[in-house]
Amino acid sequence: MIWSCGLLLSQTGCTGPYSALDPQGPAASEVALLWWGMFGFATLVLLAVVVLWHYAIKRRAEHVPATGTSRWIIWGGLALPTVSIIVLLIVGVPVGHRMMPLPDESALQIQVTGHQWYWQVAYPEHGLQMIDELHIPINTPVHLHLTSADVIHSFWVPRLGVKLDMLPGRTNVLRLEASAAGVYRGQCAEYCGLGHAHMQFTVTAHDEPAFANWLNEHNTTEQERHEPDLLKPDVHEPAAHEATLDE
Amino acid sequence: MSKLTWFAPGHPAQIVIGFVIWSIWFIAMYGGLSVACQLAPPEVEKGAFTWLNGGLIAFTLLVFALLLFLAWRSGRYCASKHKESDDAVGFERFVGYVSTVLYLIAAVATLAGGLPVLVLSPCS
Amino acid sequence: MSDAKPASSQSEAVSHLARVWGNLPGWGSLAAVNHGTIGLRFMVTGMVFFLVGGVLAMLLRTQLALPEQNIVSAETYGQLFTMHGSVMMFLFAIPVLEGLAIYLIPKMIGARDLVFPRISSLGYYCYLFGGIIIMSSLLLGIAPDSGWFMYTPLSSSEFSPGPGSDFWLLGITFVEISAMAAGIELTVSILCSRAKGMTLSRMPLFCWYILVMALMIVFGFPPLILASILLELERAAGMPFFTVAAGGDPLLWQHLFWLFGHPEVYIIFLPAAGIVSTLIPVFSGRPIVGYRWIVIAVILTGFISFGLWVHHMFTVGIPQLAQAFFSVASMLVAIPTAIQVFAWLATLWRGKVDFQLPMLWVSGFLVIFVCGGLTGVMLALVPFNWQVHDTHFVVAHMHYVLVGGMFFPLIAGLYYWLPLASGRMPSPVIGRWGFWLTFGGFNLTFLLMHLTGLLGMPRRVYTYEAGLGWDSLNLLSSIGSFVMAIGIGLVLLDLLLHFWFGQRASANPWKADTLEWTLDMPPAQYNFASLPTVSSRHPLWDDPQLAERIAAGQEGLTEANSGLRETYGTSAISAQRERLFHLPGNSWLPLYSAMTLAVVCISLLSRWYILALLVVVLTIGLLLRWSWENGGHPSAAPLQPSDPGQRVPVQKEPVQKGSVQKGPVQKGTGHELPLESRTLDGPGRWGMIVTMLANGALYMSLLFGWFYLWTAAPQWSAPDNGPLPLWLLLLCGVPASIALWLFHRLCQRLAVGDALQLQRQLWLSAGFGLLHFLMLLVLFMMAPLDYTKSAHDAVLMVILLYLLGHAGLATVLTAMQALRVARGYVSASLPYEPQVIKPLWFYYLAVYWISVALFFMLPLGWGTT
Ligand code: HEM
Ligand SMILES: [Cu+2]
Ligand SMILES: [Cu+2]
Repeated sequence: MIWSCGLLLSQTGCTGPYSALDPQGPAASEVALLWWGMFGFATLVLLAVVVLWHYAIKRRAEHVPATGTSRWIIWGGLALPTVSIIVLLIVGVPVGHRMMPLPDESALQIQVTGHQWYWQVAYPEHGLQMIDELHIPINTPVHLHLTSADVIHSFWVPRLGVKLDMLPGRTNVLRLEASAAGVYRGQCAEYCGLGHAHMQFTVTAHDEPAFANWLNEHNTTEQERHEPDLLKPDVHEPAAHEATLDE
Repeated sequence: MSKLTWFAPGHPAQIVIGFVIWSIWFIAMYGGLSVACQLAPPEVEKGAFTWLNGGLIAFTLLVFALLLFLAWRSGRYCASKHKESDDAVGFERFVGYVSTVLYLIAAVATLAGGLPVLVLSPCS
Repeated sequence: MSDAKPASSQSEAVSHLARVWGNLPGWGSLAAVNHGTIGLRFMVTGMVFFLVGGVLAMLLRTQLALPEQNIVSAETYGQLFTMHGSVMMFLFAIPVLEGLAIYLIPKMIGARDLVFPRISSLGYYCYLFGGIIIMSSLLLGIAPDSGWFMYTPLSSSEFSPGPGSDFWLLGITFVEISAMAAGIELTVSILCSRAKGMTLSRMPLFCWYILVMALMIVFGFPPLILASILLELERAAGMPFFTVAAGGDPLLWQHLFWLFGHPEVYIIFLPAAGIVSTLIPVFSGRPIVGYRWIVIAVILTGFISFGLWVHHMFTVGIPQLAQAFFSVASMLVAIPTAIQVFAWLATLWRGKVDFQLPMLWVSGFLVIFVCGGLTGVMLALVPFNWQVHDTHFVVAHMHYVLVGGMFFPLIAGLYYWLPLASGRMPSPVIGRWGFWLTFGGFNLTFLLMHLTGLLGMPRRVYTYEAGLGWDSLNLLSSIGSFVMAIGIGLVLLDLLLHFWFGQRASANPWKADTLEWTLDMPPAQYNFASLPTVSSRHPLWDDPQLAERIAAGQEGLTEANSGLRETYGTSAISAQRERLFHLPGNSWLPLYSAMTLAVVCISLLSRWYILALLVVVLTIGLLLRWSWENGGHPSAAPLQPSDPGQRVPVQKEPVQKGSVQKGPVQKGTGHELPLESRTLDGPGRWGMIVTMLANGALYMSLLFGWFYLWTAAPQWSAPDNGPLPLWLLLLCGVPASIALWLFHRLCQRLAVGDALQLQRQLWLSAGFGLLHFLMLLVLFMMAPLDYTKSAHDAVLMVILLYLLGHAGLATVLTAMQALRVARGYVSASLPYEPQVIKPLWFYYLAVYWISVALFFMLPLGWGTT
């Protein structure tokens, strides 16, 4: 099976608009690396166990009476998992730590509110609003302030970084960064009702001048004028958003 | 056999006490952390060097030491039963052995669970 | 134990046993309570639900086979995956394994039945009726559709106004009764009714696994039961536990659900691993390597699995330190699993392996489960989890552990124990075909699904665009699932056909070491013709004549004395015989009670609350009637002339719990020991204690919810002054305390044979209980609780109702004791029952005072933050 998996991998490749294995941001890259590392190690362990199992069944042992604790248990049962866990944590915890949205002056702040079934995006510093699309500069951390107006949704752009849930009444902050310009696709990852499968959005990453351009354009054309009918009236509490932005 | 009280080594209750202590530690850590972060969250900038982390690690070390002591006590008991081999003793040895290992694992699990306190800031 | 008897008297004894233990003929078999019958019913019903769940899975896979298909709508797809998950988890996995345990445990520990046979039957009917109610929603097209973990607010009345969520909440809670019943009953049976000499260190490993599983049920299910009650209260009565605006929090649901949900997957895994640990030594022809280490691993799993629940919630935005905490705990679980895997490996290594069909399934289990365990460790790593959570990677992982860790061992176990249940051997040819198709199909379906997830396909989407890189993977997965379905079909066919076409099995066909293989194949309803004594971990290997001696009636308790069903009660630690347990026979009460409960469930679903209330009263009446037919009641084990009319004049100090008192003596049949109702201890008392542990877990969950909302709900608000005057609460506690004190005192007196004014004392205790109940009721009516506007008030309302219910129950049971004294069912010679009720009183008082302190006093001190 492992081979068939490898075969398929080489065929389809790991690319695709939602592929976490085709990362274009630091967070997603680190996770992809983690995955390949863990995948390799897990494959080795699995193979070793299966081979041992097969051999243990086939081999004709002379009857050895049970004596004390088996070395199998000490090495395989205790040492192997303990060492693996320690290594995994030493590698993994800092990765998680680097994804944390620590207070950061340079970061662009964006608010995203999940609705059944669309994404309401706001740039509080620029007075911009839009639906189902985000625009970000490349190589700049972006702090997304995520909340929901109804049920739980989850914000996920697999090629840029990890996902984070959007909960009613709370604001979670997700740190994302794109390392190359392009259009990245995002989708809702938490089941949120009938429209869940189609609750998608795009993130367009511009290089620095293009992003400035984009901002200028949209500031002058007054987004709000043609968008507000899309926004439900119950889109609420700008106060809450600002409060969390200050922290 | 039935004369042993529950806290004496060799009583079957010893088998679970290690992890009951671990559970209490777990609840206290998680609960304490949540309550403290609600009432008086230390500043994020301080990272892991806050009064809260200090308290949690001290508590962890205390529980770790307690569990180690209990493991030692139970292990000594188990070793003392080594020579004899009648039925009842076989049972007591079983209990002694199992509880010693479980105390030890509980101690290690406590320490392992407490270690992140050294590197992460508590409330963010 | 008696000497060998002439054959004729032995066959007479056996036919008498068969008469006493038999089910009623025809429809009467619905009144059966015997563990063998009930266990099989559980398993067969579970397999039927498995087929239903499987058909739903096939529909899911058909829809996903190609991109942009419209075979089912988004709406239907929601119902399908929710029902598939719920049916598989709640109506298949847990009940089947419970059924297996119910069927096997008494046979393995050398007993005639479980200790609460009527409870087994009640559990079965609750499961059956609950399952039918849940399935009916699917037929009506109004099935729950928020996923098997029912996250609110999606499942709330605002976003799921239809009755779907109610079906889930009420139906699953109804089914849960059976899990709780099995958990309590298996715990007590394993602790109190093992064969003489079967100390804890000689118990078959399967029993260790089941013991830990049963205790996990006892502690693990209450959080879900509580959560379901709270959510149903929110939906039906508008109590806003999970509504942010009123001070609730949807995350509380997630915490409570996973507080149950994670232990649950180990509740499913442990019995299955128990099967593996039973089979491997048998087919290796040697004892397991590291018995003690397996016991350690099982206990370790039991504890640690309660500290992992947050790993299902890594993406909800919990502080990193807390996540790290749960991440470490999650990975720790790899250790007990690795211990077991390597103990199995070592056993195979050192043994001579007889590679029969069951071993094929065990090997399949190993490959799949190890793979699932490895992806599990990956998922426990927080940053990786953030990426693949809620994708098809998780669907793949979960099926690797559930199908690999539960279904494969289950089939191995079924093949292994089939000869016991049917007396016939399965077919090796169809069996092998079935295995390879299942194994291959499974891996084709789910191995690829890991990749689908990594390529970004979220779970629970009813369709997907073409060209995202998911097309061929999904098609192959769907093909694989159909291959697997054919394989499973073959296996089930094989299992079914073998009842007619299988070869006759020889005695102990696999050369196993455990007691169940001393039985007739198929076993008699009473299991053992005489109850064995055990002197090693492997009774059949070390004592080859045991089976003959048992059949020849040369072991204990050969006769059914005065037509009663009985088994030995042994001490939990030293496994010495201490008393006889009288086990009730065929009874309609469980069926009737489950039927009325089903009516309650249906009327709640239909929101006919008046009817529900009336039927609840009826149910309580039935249950009280049930508890009436116990102990010295004429239909149970009334006092006999052979019972000492006056209790032996007794010593001054109270009788020790474990000590033996003299009862009716009949030489040679094993009736030297007293019935439990003539002593101070018995399964009922332990059942009450374990029930109070479960009850305590429920209470702790409520307490957790209270603290959680307090510290974490975004808009929590509590009034400055508590809604109840504290001094009234304190005053109200006084009569309750007096009632407890009286009850405790009369129990102590009864223990030394002093039944003077017993009835009056009981009435007095009940009277104080009633006074307390009424005071509390008045307090409750007076309290200005705005329970639809404020989560704070809603929680207080629930805790008050909880207290009221318990106060009422303790009072009624005490009054019933007084009545039983009047009838002579409780007396100096029958001192048992007050001992059963005493833990309830203690529990209630503890909970009352803790509640006053934590729910009413503490908030005053803390103030509003
Ligand atoms: C017989 C072969 C099986 C197949 C082909 C299968 C297929 C599936 C599929 C395709 C899903 C994902 C639906 C989605 O997320 O869109 C799913 C979900 C699930 N399956 Fe299975 N399944 C099988 C057996 C089992 C078994 C034996 C169990 C449990 C013992 C199980 C438990 C679950 C659970 C808990 C879910 C999650 C449901 C949810 O998301 O609410 N499945 N299954
Ligand atoms: Cu969604
Ligand atoms: Cu889990």
